Amino acid sequence: MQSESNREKMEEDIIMKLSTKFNVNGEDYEADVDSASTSLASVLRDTLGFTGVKRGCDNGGCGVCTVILDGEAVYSCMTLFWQAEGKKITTIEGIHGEDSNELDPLQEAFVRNSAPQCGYCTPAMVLAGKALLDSKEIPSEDEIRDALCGVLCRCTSYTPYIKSILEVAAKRTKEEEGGRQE
Amino acid sequence: MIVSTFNPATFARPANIKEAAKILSEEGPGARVVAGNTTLYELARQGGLSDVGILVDISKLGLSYIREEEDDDPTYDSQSSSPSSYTTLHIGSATTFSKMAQSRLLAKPSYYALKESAMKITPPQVRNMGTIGGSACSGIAFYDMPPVLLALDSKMKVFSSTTGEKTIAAKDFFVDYFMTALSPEELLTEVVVEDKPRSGSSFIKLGRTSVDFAVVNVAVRITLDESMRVISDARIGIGAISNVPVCANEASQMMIGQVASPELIRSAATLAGSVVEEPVPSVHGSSKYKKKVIPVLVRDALFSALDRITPPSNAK
Repeated sequence: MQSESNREKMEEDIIMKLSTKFNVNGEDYEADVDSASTSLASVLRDTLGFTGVKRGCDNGGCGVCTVILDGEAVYSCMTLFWQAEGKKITTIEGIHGEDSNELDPLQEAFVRNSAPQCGYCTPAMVLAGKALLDSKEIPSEDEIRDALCGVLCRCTSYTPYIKSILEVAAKRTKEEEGGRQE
Repeated sequence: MIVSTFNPATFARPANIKEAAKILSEEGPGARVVAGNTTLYELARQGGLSDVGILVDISKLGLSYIREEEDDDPTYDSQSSSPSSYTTLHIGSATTFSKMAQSRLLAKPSYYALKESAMKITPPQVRNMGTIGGSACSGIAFYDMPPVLLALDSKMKVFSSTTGEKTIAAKDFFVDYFMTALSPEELLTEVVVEDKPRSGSSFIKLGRTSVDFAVVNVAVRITLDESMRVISDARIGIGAISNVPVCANEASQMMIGQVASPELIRSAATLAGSVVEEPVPSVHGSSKYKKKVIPVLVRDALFSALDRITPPSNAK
């Protein structure tokens, strides 16, 4: 009798309701979802309205659903919503410069190089590039290519995207050298 | 929207390995372990996993680590030439490929194939989520980690709430397409690799593009004896050519006890080419093509493994 009630209690503790709390772009959200197999992409875009998260192939192939989850770029279509429990998510809506109505230096570089053409993959390119630039001060071209290889751009604007990130890295190198001289 | 029959009713987030194993044994085949979800997702998209009722999250069990231990467990010591110390590498089953790719510990020549294969898993979005345990337990023959586990003679540590802890050798772990030696109630907790001094390992993957799955992938480890000339141990794991990743035992036996020479490596690689009668073809590689390319990959892998071997420092 005792053990049975214990078991029930344990089950209550372990098997949670399908509700998950996470932080998107600095704000806390709680998502209530019907199915345990619902993707993070679906919750972000369809439930919470972050339409910068695209559901392109919804199949882990095109990469336009990329978000930054606790500092790492991930496919939100391949991630179940409850895997994000307690984590910090950044979508394109949360990317900006020092002031919230300014562009991030990476976004500025993209604009300068006319990297976005149709623009569909651009949010994912920004996030994939941003995740790299946040983890590595001055990435090499190989590392940039690796970071972007998971996002497809059917306008084939890869070269300007890579060039833009290289520019941001070069600017950082310059600043570093400048700082050293002082 | 793609209609999928995958529709688990709920998920569980156990706090420790015992709780997780308890859920697995109570739910039986209806439960499925989730670490990074990358493979489960793919399988669900293909219309599989309709029998899954509950997903069990193992990301909060503290199974994400890479560390070395001084072990005196006699089971890891069958052929060790330096019985005074057994350093073993322990990788938690929920360790992501990213963590492995960045690990400085895995840069050791004898472990390097693990790092090399993790680095070659692309795109980074998958590398950041996918885990070594998931890669092994999916039982998918063209995944990159299984041949490495074979080449490094890994031991798979398994926990079950009814039978407790046990160890399965990697060579007995892979059973058939999508099948491993694990029963539904068992949970893979750790991969253990013995650090063999004077060893070098290497991984080579042939894919159509860098983001594709392997057409053929090869992992090898070579160990030299004290003279630093004679091969005392060699292992070759080859993936994507059969229902399970295979060991080219004849080829490695041929090298053991011989002086490491280019001629020896070339003839061992040729012998490795006939490890399976007819490699399983895929859309990017016919059986004939795979058969031709295996010796080339094995040869390159053996040469680069040999290059990486460094003599142990006397300071130790």
